[in-house]
Amino acid sequence: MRITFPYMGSSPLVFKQLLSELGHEVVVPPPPSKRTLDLGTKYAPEFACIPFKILLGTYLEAIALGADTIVSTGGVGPCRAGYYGELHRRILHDLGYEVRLLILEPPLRRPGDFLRALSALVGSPLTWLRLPGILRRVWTKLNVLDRVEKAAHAIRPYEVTPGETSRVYNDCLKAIDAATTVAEIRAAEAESLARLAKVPQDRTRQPLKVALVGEIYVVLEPFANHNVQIMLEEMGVIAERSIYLAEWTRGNAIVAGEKNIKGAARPYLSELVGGHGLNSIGETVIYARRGFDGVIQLAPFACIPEIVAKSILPRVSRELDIPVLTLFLDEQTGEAGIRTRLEAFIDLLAARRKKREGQVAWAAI
Amino acid sequence: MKRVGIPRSLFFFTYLPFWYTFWAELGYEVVVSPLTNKGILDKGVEEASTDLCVPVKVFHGHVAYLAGQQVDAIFLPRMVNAGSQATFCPKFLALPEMVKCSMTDLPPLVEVRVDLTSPWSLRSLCHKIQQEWAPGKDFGAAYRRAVLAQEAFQAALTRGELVGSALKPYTGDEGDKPKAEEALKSELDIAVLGYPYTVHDAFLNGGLLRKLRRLGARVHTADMVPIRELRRYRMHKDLFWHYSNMVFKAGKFWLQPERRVDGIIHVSTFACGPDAMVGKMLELEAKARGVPLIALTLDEQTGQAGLDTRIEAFVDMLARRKTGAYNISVHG
Amino acid sequence: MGGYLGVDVGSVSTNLVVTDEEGEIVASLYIRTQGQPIAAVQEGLAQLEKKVPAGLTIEGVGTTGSGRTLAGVVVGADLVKNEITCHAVAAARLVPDVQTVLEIGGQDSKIIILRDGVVTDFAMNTVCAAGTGSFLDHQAERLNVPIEEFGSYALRAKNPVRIAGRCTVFAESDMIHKQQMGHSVEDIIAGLCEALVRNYLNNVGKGKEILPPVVFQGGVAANVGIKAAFEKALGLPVYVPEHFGVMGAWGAALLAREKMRTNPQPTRFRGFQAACLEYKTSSFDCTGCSNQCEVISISMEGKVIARWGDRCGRWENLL
Repeated sequence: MRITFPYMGSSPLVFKQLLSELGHEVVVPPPPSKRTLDLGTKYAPEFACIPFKILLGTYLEAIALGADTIVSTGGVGPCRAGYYGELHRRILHDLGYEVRLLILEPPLRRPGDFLRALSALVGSPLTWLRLPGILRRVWTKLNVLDRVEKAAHAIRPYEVTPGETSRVYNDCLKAIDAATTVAEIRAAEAESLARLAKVPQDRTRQPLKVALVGEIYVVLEPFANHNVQIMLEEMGVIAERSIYLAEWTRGNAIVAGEKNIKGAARPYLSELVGGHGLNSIGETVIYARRGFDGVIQLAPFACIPEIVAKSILPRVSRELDIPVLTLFLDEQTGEAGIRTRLEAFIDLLAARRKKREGQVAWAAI
Repeated sequence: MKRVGIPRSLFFFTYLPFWYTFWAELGYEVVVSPLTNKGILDKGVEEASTDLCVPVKVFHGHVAYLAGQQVDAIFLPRMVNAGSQATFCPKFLALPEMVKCSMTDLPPLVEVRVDLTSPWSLRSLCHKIQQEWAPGKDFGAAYRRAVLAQEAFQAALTRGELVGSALKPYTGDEGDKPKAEEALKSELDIAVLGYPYTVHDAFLNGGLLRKLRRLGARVHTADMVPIRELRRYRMHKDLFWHYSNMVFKAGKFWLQPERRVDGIIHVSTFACGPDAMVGKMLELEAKARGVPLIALTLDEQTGQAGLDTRIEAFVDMLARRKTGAYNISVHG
Repeated sequence: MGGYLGVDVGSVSTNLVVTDEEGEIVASLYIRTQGQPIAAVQEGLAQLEKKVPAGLTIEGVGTTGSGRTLAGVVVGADLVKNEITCHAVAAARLVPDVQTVLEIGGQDSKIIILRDGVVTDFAMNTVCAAGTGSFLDHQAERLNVPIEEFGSYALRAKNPVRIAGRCTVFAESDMIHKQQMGHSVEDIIAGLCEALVRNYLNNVGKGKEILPPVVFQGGVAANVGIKAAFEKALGLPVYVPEHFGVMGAWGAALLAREKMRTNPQPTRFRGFQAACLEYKTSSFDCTGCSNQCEVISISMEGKVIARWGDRCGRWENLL
C-alpha cells in the first residue's frame, strides 16, 4: 500500500510520521502549487470550492508519484467537505484511476465506516499494540508544530530584517521533521524556540492586531489564501489565526468544546450551519471583545456556511464596531488583488486607531 | 380578520398546502405573494447579500412584497430537517437571521424551527403556533385538515400533475401549467431535475416547463416520485441535504431503463453549493446509462435568448436521436 | 519651486500627475498601459517632462495602482501606496467632507466610504467585469458608437431598456437580443449605463451606506450617461471632479508630499531621464524550498535593482 493524504499547512509532517510508523510506504504529496490547482480545476465541478479542487489536484499529483491509496476525512454535513471523499472517489474512478480512498468518518456518527478505514490503516494486531506509543509521538509532534509556528507568527511583525523569521522557521521545520521520538521532538522544539527568539526584533513597534477567521482549509493552507498571514505580519501587523490543527483536533474530534464560540455567536446566529460558518461569527464577536483592530474572513468562493456568515457579519461589525474584510478565494483570485485589499484595510485600521487616540488622521497613511 | 403572508419561494413549492390550510383553519386570511416577477427579483437582489444564490435573493424579494401588504405576520420557518439524517441547505438553516440582517421594518415574523426528526415534532410545533398566534382556536381540526391537504397534494403530484397546477386551489393561478393548445402530442420524455424552487418558479427558469411542453415533451420532475420509491435508492453515503437527496435519487429513478426517459435537464443556480456535487453525480449516472444530460445554470438574468437556444437545441438533439436521424455519441 | 509626482499604473491605463508645492495639479497625463507597464511609465515620464513648468523640481514621488511596486522601482518612489487609499486621499482633498467615493476604471471598480475624512469601509469588485469600463468599451464597439459619445446618446434616450445579467456574457447576449427586437440605440445605451450602475451598486456597493457628498471618479466618470444613471439610482447629486481620470495618481502625489514634508529627506526620484534608461524584467522559479516561488527581478542598465516574489526574502535581501 503506497499511501498519500491531503496537504494542509504543516500537518504533512505529522501524517508522514503517523503513516510510516503504521508501517506504510508514504507518498508525501507535493505542496499545492498553481499546477495542483489547475489539475483540480480541470476535473472538479465548476462550483466546487477551492479546497475540493486543491485536494483533487493533490491526489492526482500523488497518484502520478505512485500512490495507490488515499486517506482523508469525512463528515456528516451540512458543509460539503464531508462529502468530498465520496465525490473524489467517483471522479478519480471515472478518470480510470483504480485508487482506494480510506475515509475516516466521525467515529460516533458512522462507526462502521470509521472502524473499517481504521483497521485498513492499522493492519496487523502487532501494530494495534504499538498504537498508543505511535499516537503519543504524533500528538506531541502536532502540538510542537503548532507552538513553534505560533512563536514565529508572534515574532514576525517585529522582525528587523524582512523574511528573517520565515527563514529561521523553515530551518526549524526541517529539524522537527527529522525528530521522531518524543524526546527528540521536545528537543527540536526547545531549539526552535530558542533560535526564533534570537531573530532581531524592534519591540518599539505598536502593531495593529488583526484576526483571521473562516473556513479551516483556506485558513490553514497558505497556498489557498495567498499567504495572507505572513503577508500581514510582514506589513508589521499581528495576525492571529483562529484555527491551529492541534487545538482544532482537541476541540472538534475528541472533546466537544467550542461552547463559548457558540455562545458568542448566539445573538446573531443560533443554528449550526456546517463548516466554520458559526465559528466565523462567534470568533468575530470574541476578537472584538478582545480589542482587536479588525477581522479578516477567509472563505472559499461558493462556500455555503461562509456565505451565510458573511450575510450576518455586517450586523456584528456594526454593533461591535469592528471592521470585517471578507476575502473570497477561488482559482481566479490573484495575489495582487489580495494585497491591495489588505493594504487598504490596514490603512483603514491605522486611521481608526489614530483617531481613537485623538491624533489627526488625514485619510490614511 | 388577521392576515398572514407566505412567500412564494423555497419551501413554498413543497409544503404550501399544509401551511396554507393550517393558517386558514386558525382563522387567518392567508396572503400568498404573486408569481416571481421582475420587481420581486430586483427587490431581492437589492436586499440580499451579494454572494447568496438567486433563489434566496428571490425569497428576500417575496418577503419585501409581503411586508408591503399590511399583513399581521409573515410565515418564515427555519426549515431544518424533513425527517431523515439530511438537513436543508445551510442557507435555509439561517434564513430568518439573514432576512433580518438585511431588511428592517418587517412585520412580525413567525420564526419556527421545523425539525421533523421525531414523528411528533410537527404536531407539537403546530400546537405551539396555534397557542401563540391563534389562542382559543381548535388546534386538532386545523392540524388534521392541514395533513389531509398535504396528502392530497402529494397524491396529485404522484399522478403526474405539475406543482403549479396542484397548488392552484391555494394560489388561484396555474403557475407554470401550459395552456391546452400548447400541450401538443408528446413524443419525448424529459426528466427536469432540480430543486422545487427553481423548477417551479417560471420566472427564474424562463418558463422552462411550458417551453418543453410546447416543444412536444412530457415533463417528469423530482417531486412526482413517491417518497417510498426514493427510499429504494440506497447510497453508500447519503448527501447531507434533503432536496439534494431528492433530486439525485429521483435522477436514479427516472434513469431506470423501464422509464424510457429520453433526456435529463438538470436545473441549477449560479454558485449553488450542493449542486456542485449533485450536478457532477447526476452527470456520471446519466453517462453510465447513456442518457443525454444538459445542465442549465440560472442567474438573476431575465435574458431569455441564451436559455431558449440551449433548450431548443437539446430537444432537437433528443428528437433526432430517437428517430435515428443522428446517432451520435452524447458523451465525448 | 518644488513639486510632487504621482504615478498610477493600472492594467488598462497609466496616469501621471505633477503637483506644485501646495499639492495643486500643474500637469497630468493618461496613456494606455497595453500590457507593458515599464514602457508606459517611461513614455509617460518623457511626455510629462515637456509639460512640467520650468524651474519645478520633483521633491517626492508616490506610486499606486496594480503595478505600483514595479513603477516604484522604475521611477524611484518615496512612497508606494494601494489605490484605495490614494483615491480616498485625492477625493478628500477636493471635497473635504466627502462621504462616498465611487470609482470605476478600466478593469476594476471600487467604492470607498469615508466619515470625518477617514476611510471607514471599502470594497473592490472581484472577478466580474460587468461593472467596469472595459464592459462599456466593448459594447460601444459592438454598437458602433464611439465611446466618447456614449454619454450623450444615453441622455437622449426616451425609454431606457432593461439589460439584465450580472456578468458581461449574459448582459451582452441580452443586449443583442434587445437590439434584434428593434429598440433604439439611444435606449439601449441608456439601458447599458443603468445596467452597469445596477451591477455596481448590487455588487461593489452592496450593504454600503452611501451618503452625500458623493464623488465619482475614474476613467468611466467621463461618461455623463453613467453619472446620470448614478444620480437616478441614488437620488443624490453626484460630483465628478475636473481631474476625474487621474485621481489615483494625484492621491499618490499628495501622500508623497505629506510624507516628505513631515519627514524631510532627499527624494529617491531617478529623474525624468529614467525614461531613457534600459529596464528589463526577468523571472525564475526558486528551487530553494518547496514553495517554488516565482521570483521577479528588475534590472536597470544591466544591474539588478529589485527582486520580489520570494516568500522567504532570500532573493529580495540579496540586494
